[in-house]
Amino acid sequence: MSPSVDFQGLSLAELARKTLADAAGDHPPTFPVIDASVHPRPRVDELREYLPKVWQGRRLPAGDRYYYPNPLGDSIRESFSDAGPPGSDPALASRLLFEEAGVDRAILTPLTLGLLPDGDLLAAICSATNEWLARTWLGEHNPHGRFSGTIRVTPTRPEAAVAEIEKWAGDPRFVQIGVPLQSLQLYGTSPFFPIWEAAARHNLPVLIHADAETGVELAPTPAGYLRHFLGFAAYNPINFVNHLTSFMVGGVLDRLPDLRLVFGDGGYDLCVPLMWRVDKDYRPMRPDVPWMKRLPSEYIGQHVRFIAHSMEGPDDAVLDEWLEMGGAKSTLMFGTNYPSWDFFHPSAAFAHVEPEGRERILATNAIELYGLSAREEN
Amino acid sequence: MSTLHDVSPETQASTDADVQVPIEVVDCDIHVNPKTGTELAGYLPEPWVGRGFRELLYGGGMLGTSVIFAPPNDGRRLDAFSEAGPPGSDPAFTSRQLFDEAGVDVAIIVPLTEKSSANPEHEAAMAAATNNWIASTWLTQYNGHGRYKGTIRVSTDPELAVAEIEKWADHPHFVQVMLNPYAGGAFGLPHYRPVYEAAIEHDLAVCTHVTLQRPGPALLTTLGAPSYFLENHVQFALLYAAHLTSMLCEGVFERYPDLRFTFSEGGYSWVLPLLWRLDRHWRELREETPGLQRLPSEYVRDQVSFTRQPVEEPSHLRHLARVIEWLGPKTLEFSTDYPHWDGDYNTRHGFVGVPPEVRAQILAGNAIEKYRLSPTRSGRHWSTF
Amino acid sequence: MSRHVVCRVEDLPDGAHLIVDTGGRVGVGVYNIHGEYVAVRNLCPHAGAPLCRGILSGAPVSDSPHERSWAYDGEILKCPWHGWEFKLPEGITLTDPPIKVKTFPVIVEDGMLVVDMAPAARPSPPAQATAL
Repeated sequence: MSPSVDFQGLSLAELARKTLADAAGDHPPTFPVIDASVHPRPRVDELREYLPKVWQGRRLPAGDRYYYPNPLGDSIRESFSDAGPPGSDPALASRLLFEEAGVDRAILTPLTLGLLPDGDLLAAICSATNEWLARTWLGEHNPHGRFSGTIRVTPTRPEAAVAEIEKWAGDPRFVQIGVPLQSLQLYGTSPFFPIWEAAARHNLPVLIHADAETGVELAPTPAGYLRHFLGFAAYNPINFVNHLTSFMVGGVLDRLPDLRLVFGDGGYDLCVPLMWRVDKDYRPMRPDVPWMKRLPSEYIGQHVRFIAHSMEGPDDAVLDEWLEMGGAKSTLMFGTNYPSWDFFHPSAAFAHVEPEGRERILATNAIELYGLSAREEN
Repeated sequence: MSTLHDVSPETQASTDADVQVPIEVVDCDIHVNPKTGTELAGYLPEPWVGRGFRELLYGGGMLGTSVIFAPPNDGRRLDAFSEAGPPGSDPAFTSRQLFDEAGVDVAIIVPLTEKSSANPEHEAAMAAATNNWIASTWLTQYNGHGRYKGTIRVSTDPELAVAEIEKWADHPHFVQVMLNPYAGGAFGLPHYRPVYEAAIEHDLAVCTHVTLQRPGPALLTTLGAPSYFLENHVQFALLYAAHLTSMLCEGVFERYPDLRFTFSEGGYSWVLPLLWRLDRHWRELREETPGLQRLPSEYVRDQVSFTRQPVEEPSHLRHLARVIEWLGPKTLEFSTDYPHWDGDYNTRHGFVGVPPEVRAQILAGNAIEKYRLSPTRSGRHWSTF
Repeated sequence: MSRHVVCRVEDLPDGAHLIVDTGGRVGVGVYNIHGEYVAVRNLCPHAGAPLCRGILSGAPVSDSPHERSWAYDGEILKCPWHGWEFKLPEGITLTDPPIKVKTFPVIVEDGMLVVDMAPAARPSPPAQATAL
């Protein structure tokens, strides 16, 4: 996919109907904003260079979830450039995020290519992605030091995942582990435990985020496939509940008090009522899971963070109260989701939340979670 | 705390007074059972009896509760077991616990004696047996007082479902149709339209209720297999959220403004953030869904309700009252889920901070309107009928 | 009436219980838990179930996933509705945060078990079967 491809005389950039400019609001924050959700993307030819020889000749999926095409385009118009697909140009991203949107620092999470059937290939793609990110966005394009990165691993190959964590954990530019939301097995079950143990050992949070491609996976709802992007986009993030519940009942959070989970597709809004329900279930069902020691909702503050999205949550009239009800002012982090179509602009985010709460969400919670130190002006 | 276990003075004193009393509590979800498989087998339609189908009922295989997951207390409240039979099988015992002890005026029976099976004709036969059975027992023989209302069970095959609806449409005590949420795809799919149309034509409400979930894949979460019942229980909400999203996006409520749809036993408060999401997405993407002409939340407030049990219990009990206020008082209906282990048998529990008029609406008003019930009943005690 | 005679001591062996009408709305269940007597209000503090209609059992406990052992045999009263587990004689849930059902001391007088409903505020050690 490149901007030179035309449709009725329009470039892909012109077909993209959402813009960063339109997402802007009237309340630019007066403090440095941490953007916990930026998605850089290697061009396929670029990624190929980082793959071992045995995989270099293998065709790779494009990283587009075409099963649910978005009528508005997948990316904001400004993110298109001649350098490659949206998210592939670090200079452009720096300009848009740091100069135009008023972001101070960004956590980079490249998406991988969904649940490819061959887990060995997926592990190789994760390794290549990490190497690429370290050399480019976190290396030569990071003179300002504003970028921090995510170590991509595939839970379908736990040993490779642990090795990848060990490889990069000592590199302070990487601040978390990243895994796909999609899985054929819930993350609280035992095969995955070594990965979470390694993450906790290195004090690295684990980001769970829907991946970029439709792979070998189950339908996105228990009632099968929805048939519109509208429904899919609104529904899919709430699937986080399954992994979260599994981490709880599987005893992972009791065993790893230092493990921190970040749900990158949003969902804090649904976490409130779902924890009410699970809390109620816990007392009768304790005998099924006697190793689980706390009410489900009590794990949230210690273990769970959510990245806020522009397409969730109540209107301003109710927002502050809903945040309080779920304790979200200490669990919610801000993310633009660049270059995605639903770009969340800092100047529009939580604009009517009281100042202290807004600063926690747009900055402090991420600074604390990722242990970000003060940035030197450059 | 309410006086759960006291016989209310009203019901005791009014055994011979044939005056009308207001209906203050409608229980929108109770489950009754035959005392044995034999009781139900007698109601099977031909040709299935002749094909040896009836024998299947005797072993308990078809009537037994699924123990793939093991709910606490064997799935039933222990004080519903009695010498008179299994929980929910004896009308006098059931009436005493529901009407006298829990203070229910009218109870809507959602029979779970038909469960998913791969063959829709087989399922239709089981649905017919269930409907025949409750029509002749709980809705007639045991129902001189008229305080039991019924739900028509149907096959997942729409054509067979419509035939079964037509069969019972004029029955005075069947008030709704139940769709099985586990098979047949999301409820917005066009093949359900004839079912909705038949229900509307006969002024019946439509509900769905989680049920004995035989199909293995239906037990999976979207992200893999659960290990424990707690995970399965959470799935109820995600399953209903999927059906509701599908119905909205496919334009079911726009097409059928007279459809009254109820999600039973899947929780309530999750609906609020789901609607926030859907409203936001609709504002951006509505060109994709011509079947949605208004905000998704508007259709829900007008046409969709949720039964309350198992009522959510936030640590700050008043939070639930806020959710009810935001979703609107018409969306919630009281239910006990009698005789199940996770029932809400207390009409005072869970109403902290809810204004009295809204509580009255949740306890009875909404259901009276939805099911076209009389707002009063005879004041005579049920045992005198 | 603050004191209620229940039965002769030997009529309530270990693991047995009796539901006693104490003149209030719900009465109490009187339990012999391995020789310690306790009276439990027959009303679950969660949703008002007749708690003493529940089963007296034990409970699986664990400190590590997938390892289970059986504990508190004969000391766990499970609510007949929602299955909350109350450990007797203390009357406290196994789950945190703890919730307590109202309990009353049972004393032995002249070979009889007597529920003492009066000192609700004064914690009193459960009577010991060794008083026999």
